[in-house]
Amino acid sequence: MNNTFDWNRFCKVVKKDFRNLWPMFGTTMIVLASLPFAVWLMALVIDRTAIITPNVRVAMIMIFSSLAALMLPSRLYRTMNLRNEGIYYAMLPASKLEKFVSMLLFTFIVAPVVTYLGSMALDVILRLMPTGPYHQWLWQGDGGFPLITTIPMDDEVMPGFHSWMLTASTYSGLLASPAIFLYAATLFKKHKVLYTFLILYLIEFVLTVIAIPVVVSLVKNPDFMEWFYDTVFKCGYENMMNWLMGIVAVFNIIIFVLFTWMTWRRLKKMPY
Amino acid sequence: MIEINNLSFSYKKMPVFENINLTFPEGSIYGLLGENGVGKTTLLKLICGLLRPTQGSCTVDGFTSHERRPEMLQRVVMLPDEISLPDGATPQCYVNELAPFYPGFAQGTFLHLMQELEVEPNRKFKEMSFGQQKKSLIAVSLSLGTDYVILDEPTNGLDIPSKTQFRSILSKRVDEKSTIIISTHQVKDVENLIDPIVILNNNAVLLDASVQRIMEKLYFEYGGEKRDDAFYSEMLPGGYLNVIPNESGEESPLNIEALFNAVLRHKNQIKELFK
Repeated sequence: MNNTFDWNRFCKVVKKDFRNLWPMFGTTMIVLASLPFAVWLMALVIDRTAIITPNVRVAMIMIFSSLAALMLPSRLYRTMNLRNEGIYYAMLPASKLEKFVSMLLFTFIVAPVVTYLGSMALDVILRLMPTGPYHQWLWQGDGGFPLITTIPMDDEVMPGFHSWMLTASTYSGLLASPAIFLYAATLFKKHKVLYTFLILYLIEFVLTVIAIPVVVSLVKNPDFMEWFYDTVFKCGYENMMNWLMGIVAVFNIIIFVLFTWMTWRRLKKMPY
Repeated sequence: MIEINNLSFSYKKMPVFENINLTFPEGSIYGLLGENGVGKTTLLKLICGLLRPTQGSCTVDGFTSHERRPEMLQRVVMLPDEISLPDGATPQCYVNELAPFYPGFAQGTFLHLMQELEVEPNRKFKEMSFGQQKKSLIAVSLSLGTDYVILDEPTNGLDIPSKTQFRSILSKRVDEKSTIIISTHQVKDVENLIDPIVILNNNAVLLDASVQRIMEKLYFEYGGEKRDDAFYSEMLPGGYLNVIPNESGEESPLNIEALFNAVLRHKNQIKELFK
């Protein structure tokens, strides 16, 4: 028997997690997948002539699906780091790697994909309604089929902007955020999602407080502004945006790798 | 066999064990006794690999516990003192989830144990009392077919008939291949069941001896006068119970509570006696 990774044993872990998925997270996934219906209903009530374009709907579905990825670890692996309740998980005869890979599979793929497919099915049903704000099918948007779409940009707003760079930064963000929440789920014993949001908000607040005086002093510096305009002019606005989005994508990938690795380390060394 | 060699463990800077050595060979029901906070649960967690020793080693059939390899985990099951169960689940659902991971699991044994403990396998945990939940988990733990069953305060929450049932099924369960370790405060609940007895005290093992050896070394004198040379004396309705060195070689009925008190009051003398 391979102690590190055995395919049959891994399948058993996946099967066990899948059995627990519905009782522990099914309702949340149904609620998240149904949120577009609330938006559809609100639009219908507020303005009967309102139109929600496929692009907006894709963005909406992606946000709700990524919320599923953020919330799943706090539910499905709720007891994993608890002193007594966690014993059951820790002592399940499977390797740490098998449990970890299953955890990644459910966080990054199963939860968001199931929510996504649920929302897509709901979108089709809502599109079939004789009235409402859905006038086009989801795949009739500018970006093509919603799962593999590049995010379209208005040419008049940003001519020449490579939307795939924005897509890369968006999709890498879909990996980075759940990785942070997965790690947080191994740290916090209660209110895992809430505490993670609060800490992220706190970090953002501190960074903003630090950044504002720096930016203000830079803006007030004529030499810097001259250099900045020259650089943007030389480089071109589109290239600048592509670079920025590229940096965001790389940053997201680093965050994803770092937090996934930290989760693995934590899972390996977690005391009970 | 479970082997603990020169093991030390501490929670941050608070030492729990210093350089302890213990072995738990197959075929016995061990009683792990000790005052509150001496580290009984910690020792069980170290055996299960849930904690990592700061020094020394703990192995189960040669596998280092804290590595928690699947092969080692398949051999050990632990029932913790505090239990947490999924509300909507039933014992049958719970065991169905665990069964694929344990090659030795026997559904027949599970159902038989549930019947013996008078718990319905298809009743939801949330509809059960704490005692019934505990009995269900005892049945689950014993039906998984592991070589080592580790029970932390298993009789907590059980009523008197259930404690009798518990003793009965446990004595039937033990065979040449299996080892059961019971950590408990309720020594009366496991009297006549546990053998050998391990008594822990601050950072160390005070006593690790079979009942036979205890009887050879100590004599439990009932109904006499209080003796000054006794390790421990306790007034009972018919006179005093004295725990004294067994100089005559005669056997006497073991009283675990009295043994425990004697060991705690005369640590060095008892250690010397059992050397």
